[in-house]
Amino acid sequence: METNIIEGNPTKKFFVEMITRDISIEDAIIDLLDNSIDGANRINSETYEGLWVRLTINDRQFIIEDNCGGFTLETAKKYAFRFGRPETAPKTLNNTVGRFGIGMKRSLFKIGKFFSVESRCSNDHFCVNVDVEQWSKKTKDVTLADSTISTIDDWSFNYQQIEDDGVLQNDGTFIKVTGLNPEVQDLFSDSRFISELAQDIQRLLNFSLLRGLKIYLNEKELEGKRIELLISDVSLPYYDEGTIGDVKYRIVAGLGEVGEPKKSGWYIYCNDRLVVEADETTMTGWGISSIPKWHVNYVMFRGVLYLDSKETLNLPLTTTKKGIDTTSEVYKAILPKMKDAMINILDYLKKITQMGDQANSYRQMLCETMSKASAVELKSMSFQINGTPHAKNVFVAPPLDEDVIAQKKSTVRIAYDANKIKADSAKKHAEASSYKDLGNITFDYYLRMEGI
Amino acid sequence: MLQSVFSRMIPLFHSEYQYIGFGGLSFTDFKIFHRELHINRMFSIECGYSMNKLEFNKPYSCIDIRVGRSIDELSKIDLSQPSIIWLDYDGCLNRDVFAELELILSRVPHGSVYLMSCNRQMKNSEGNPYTPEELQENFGSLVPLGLERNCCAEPNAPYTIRQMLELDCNNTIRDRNRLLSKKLRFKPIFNLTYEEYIGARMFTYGGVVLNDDFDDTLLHFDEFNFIGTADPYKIEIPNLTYREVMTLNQILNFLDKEQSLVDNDIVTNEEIMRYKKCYKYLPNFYDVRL
Repeated sequence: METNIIEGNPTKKFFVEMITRDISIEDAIIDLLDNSIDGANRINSETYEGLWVRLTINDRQFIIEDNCGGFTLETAKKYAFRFGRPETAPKTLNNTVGRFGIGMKRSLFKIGKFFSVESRCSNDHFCVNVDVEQWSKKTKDVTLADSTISTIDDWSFNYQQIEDDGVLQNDGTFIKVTGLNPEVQDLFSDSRFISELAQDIQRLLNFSLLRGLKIYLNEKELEGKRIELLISDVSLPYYDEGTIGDVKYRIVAGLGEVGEPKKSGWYIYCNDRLVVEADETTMTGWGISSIPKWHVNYVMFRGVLYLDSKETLNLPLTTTKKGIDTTSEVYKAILPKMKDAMINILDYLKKITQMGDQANSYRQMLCETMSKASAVELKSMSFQINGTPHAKNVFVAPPLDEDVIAQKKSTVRIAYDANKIKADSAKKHAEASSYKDLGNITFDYYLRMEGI
Repeated sequence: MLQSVFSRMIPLFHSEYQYIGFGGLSFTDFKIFHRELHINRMFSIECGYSMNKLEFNKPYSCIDIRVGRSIDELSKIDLSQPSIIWLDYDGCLNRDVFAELELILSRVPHGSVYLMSCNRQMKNSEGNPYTPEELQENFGSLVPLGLERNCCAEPNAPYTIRQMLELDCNNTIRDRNRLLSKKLRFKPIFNLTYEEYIGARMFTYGGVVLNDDFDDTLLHFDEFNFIGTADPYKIEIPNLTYREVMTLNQILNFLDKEQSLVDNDIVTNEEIMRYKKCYKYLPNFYDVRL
C-alpha cells in the first residue's frame, strides 16, 4: 500500500475564494447570461425570437430567469454542478461559449451566500438550493484501502424534484441569489453600476440582442449596441476568411467614426460573443513589427475578427471570456492576417494626417458621406465594388485629395511674436488685412530684398 | 549582379515571372529584366511624376505604370504570382519599408524574390547615429535585443539594418507558415553596400522565398562570391578609363603584366583588385556627342 502520501486536493473554501477572485461582478452576471444564450442557441441557432432573459438586481437579491430551454436533471448531475468539464462530457457542437464548467458556480459564489437554481426541461423539473456557508463545511467519511475511515470535503449538491409548486411554468431556468456578499450588495444598490452593466450587456451580447433575444434588466428592455464600419461604393473594408482546424475565421477591417478614441481598435467575437473590445494593444498587433503603436491619428481604425467553432474548446477564449488566449495556435495563425489588414489601413490614416488643418474636416466628411454597417451585418456581408466582387486582402480607401497633401507637405509654418504697436503700424503701412497677411507680406519682402 | 543571379534562378522554377519595381523615368532595371530575363509582366510604381510623363517615357509596352504610394499599389497587384520585387527606396530605412516587406512576404509564392535598397544612414534629427534606445523608439519590436551603442554608426549600420530586415523576413514567413500545409522559408541572397554617384551610402538586401524542402544546391549560388555573405559585400567600382579597362581585360590575372601597369603608374593594385571583383557585372556607358 502507498503510505508516503501528502494530500494535494484543495479545500472548498480556498477553491471558492480562488475562482471568484479574478472575475468582476459584471462579468459574472454576463457569464450567467451566456448560459441562457447557449440555451437559446440549442433551441434555434438562427433566430432567438420569442426568447427572453429577465434580470432583477437590487440590494436584497439577484434573479435571472429565462425561457431558453433549461437543462435536464442528467446535465445537472453530470456537468452543470460539477467543477470543471469532465473528459467524458459530450462535445458541445452548437457554437456555444460555455466550456470550462466553471461559469455558473463561480458567478453564484461571487454574488451571494444562498442560491437556488430551478430548471425545467421537457419532463425534468427540479431545484438545487444551496447555503454556501453550510456547503463549504460539508464533509463525508470515506473508507480507505487499509479500512481506516477518513473525513474529506463533500463537494456534492442536493436537488429536489418539483411537481407543480415551482416558479417556472415553461422550459427555462430560474436562479435566485440572496444573502448578497457585502461588496456586491453595495454595487447592486448603486444606480451607476446598474447602468454600466446595461451598457456592458448591450455591447458584449449585441449579436444575441440583434438576433431577437430580449434581455430585461430591472424590467427595462436592453438594445444591442452597434459596432460600425464605414462603407461606400468607392471604399470597402479589408476582409479575409478561412478555416483553421474546425475554427472558422473572418476578418473585416476598415474605417469607423472619428472622435471616439475609445471605440477605435480591434473587436473579437468568439461564437458571436464579444470577448475583446476596441483593443489598441500588442495583443491585437499594435506596436509589433511594422505596425505602429496606437495613436490618435489612427482613431478611425476599426477591425473585427469573428471566430466560430462548434467545439468551443478550440476557440482562444479565456475562462473569464474577457480577452483572448494569445498563445493559442489558432490566434497565432490569425494575428499576422490582422496585421496585414492594419498595414494598408494605417498607411491611409497616416496620409489623412498629412492634410494638416484640413484633415479633420476630411475625416468628418467621410463619416457623413459613407454609410454604416454593423459588426452583425459585416459577419455575413459579401462586398462588391461596381458590381464585381471585392478581392480579399485589399482595403479600398476613399479617394484622397493628393493635391492638398502635396501642398501641405511642401509648406512649413513660421511663427513669431512681435511688439503689438510696431506690428500694428507695419500692418497699416503694408495695408495688410490681418497679422497673418502681414506675416506673408514681410516674408515675401525679405525674400525679394535678399534676392533669395 | 542581380541579373546574373536571376537568370540562373528563374529557369529552376518553370514559371512566368512578374517584375515589380520603382522604374522612375529611366526604367533601367525594367530594360535589363525584360530583355535579359524575358519578363513580360512588369509593374512600375511611382508617385513623383504624372501618369502622362511616365507613360511617355516607358521603354516597353508591357510595363504597367502604377501611380500612387507603393504600399497602396503593392496591395492592388496580384502577388500570388511568382514575382521579383525590387523596392529601391530613395530615403533611409523607416517603418514603411517593413510594412511593405511584410505585405510582400505574406503573399508571394515559392521562387519569388524580395529585394530592397535604401540609404544606409541611420541618423536622428540632429544628424547623429541612432542610439539603440532611439532605434527602439522609432522601430519598436523590429529592433533585436543586444545591439551595441554604436549600432547605427558606419560601418555597423548595414549590419544592423540587415539584422532587422532578416528578422522581419523570417518572422513574417514563420507567421505565414502557421496557415500553410507546405511550409516556406526565406533564404537571404543579397547583402550589398555601395556608394551612389551623388555620394549616398546605399545598402541592398534581399532573398528568395522557397519551399522548405527545396534543395538549395540547385541554385548554384556558391559560384557567386557575393551571395549570402555574413558581412555586407562592398561594391567599389574603380575609376578607370576606357583604355585602361580594355588593357586590363586582356591581361587580367597575368600577374607580371598587371604589375607592370602598376609600376608604370597607370593603375594601382587596389584598382585592379576592385576591378576583378566586379568587371563581369559592369554595364558599359559611353558619353556620345550626338
